[in-house]
Amino acid sequence: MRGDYEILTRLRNREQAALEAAIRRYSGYVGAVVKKTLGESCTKQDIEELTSDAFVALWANAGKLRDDSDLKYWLAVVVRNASLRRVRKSVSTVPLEENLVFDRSPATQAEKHERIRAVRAAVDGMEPVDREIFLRHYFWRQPVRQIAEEMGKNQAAIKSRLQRGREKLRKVLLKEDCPL
Amino acid sequence: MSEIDKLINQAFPDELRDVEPIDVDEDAILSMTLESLGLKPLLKPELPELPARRRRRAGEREQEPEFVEVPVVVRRRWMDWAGWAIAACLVLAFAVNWGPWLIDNLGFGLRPRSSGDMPVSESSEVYEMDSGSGASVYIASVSYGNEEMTLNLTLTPVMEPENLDLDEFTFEMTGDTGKALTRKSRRNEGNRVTLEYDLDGSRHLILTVRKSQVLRDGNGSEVGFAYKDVDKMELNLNNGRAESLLKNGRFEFDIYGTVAEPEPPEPED
Repeated sequence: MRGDYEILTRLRNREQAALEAAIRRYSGYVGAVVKKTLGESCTKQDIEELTSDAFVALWANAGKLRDDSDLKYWLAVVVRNASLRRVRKSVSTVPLEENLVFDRSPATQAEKHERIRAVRAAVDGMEPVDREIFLRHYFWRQPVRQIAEEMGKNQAAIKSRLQRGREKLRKVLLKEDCPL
Repeated sequence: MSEIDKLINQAFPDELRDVEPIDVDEDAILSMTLESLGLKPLLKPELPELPARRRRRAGEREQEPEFVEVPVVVRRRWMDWAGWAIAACLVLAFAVNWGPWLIDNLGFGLRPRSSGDMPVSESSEVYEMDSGSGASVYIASVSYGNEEMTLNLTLTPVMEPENLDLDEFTFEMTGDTGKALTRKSRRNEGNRVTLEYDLDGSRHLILTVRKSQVLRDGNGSEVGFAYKDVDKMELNLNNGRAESLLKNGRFEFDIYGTVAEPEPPEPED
């Protein structure tokens, strides 16, 4: 985003005003990512703590970021990972089978990109409702009960659609002939 | 985290980017962040507290504003402008009507420069064809005896480049009595003129320098000539000072006096 480079440059020069500028610009967005990740268990204190931690990480890692870094997305990834670590203790998701399609880590960057493309294609190929349920559960780590409440469906229906999504993912990925 | 979880996390960046911001306490996050980093908040200049806010903080009730009639002098600004506009119109009318007359009669404008004190005639019948713009005349030196004097003059053109024709210049010297001195000789050499006069004992002299001028009619035909005063200067042989009455003001010249001392009177028997 325009202005990110200036903020980043000043952060590298340890200008405290740049940190404040970043907080004024992105804290609302970062807090929103925390809230969406933590879901119903999220408190105001959780939002402020995790958001603050993301900016502490930004201050610490400013020297490592590329000049064209998207600070907004970088902060979002950082705070989402931190939020997921916190939520993982309390929320259980229906695990995607480890051997669903892949039985090993990608060997090269190209192979990794190919797998990411295949996963995206598989999920985007689902029915819109199934896609939303799939991403709520596996991307945002929302529990089945919360998804059911917010989407006005019963939990059994959510579970059924999640199962259908996993099958769809498997078929598409196999059809795409991803390297296994 | 399983491999498929990692892939899902990276496969949907728009899911993250499209999150709508929420209202958060930025100041609290800022102070928390600075505290974690061991930094102190930046000092900001404090703004003066607004009276209304100060009253609220003190628990006072805000008073209803009272409206009071105040006599106000209504100043119509267009009147100021109208005065200036009228004055400007009057000046413009004066300039248009009288400007040309003033230029013609007060002697300034683009008329040719006179070489002396005689204004250039603007007669529609006869035009002066000035072969030069005149000259500045300086007295270089004067040597005199009881009955004669020699005067060395230097003439320099007023406008460069210009070659002076010294033959166009005439010189007339008058003594204390106002009577013209008799010139014995004249020599022109370069821009120097040497004049010899019979001296009648005068020590205060008047030198008049003139220049001949060809007069032509509107068709350019010569119709005669006239003399223009180039300069007029007073010479004091007692102190070697001269004063140009028309051009150059006062100046000094070298003077060499060889006046014979009067013989002492014969002792009376």
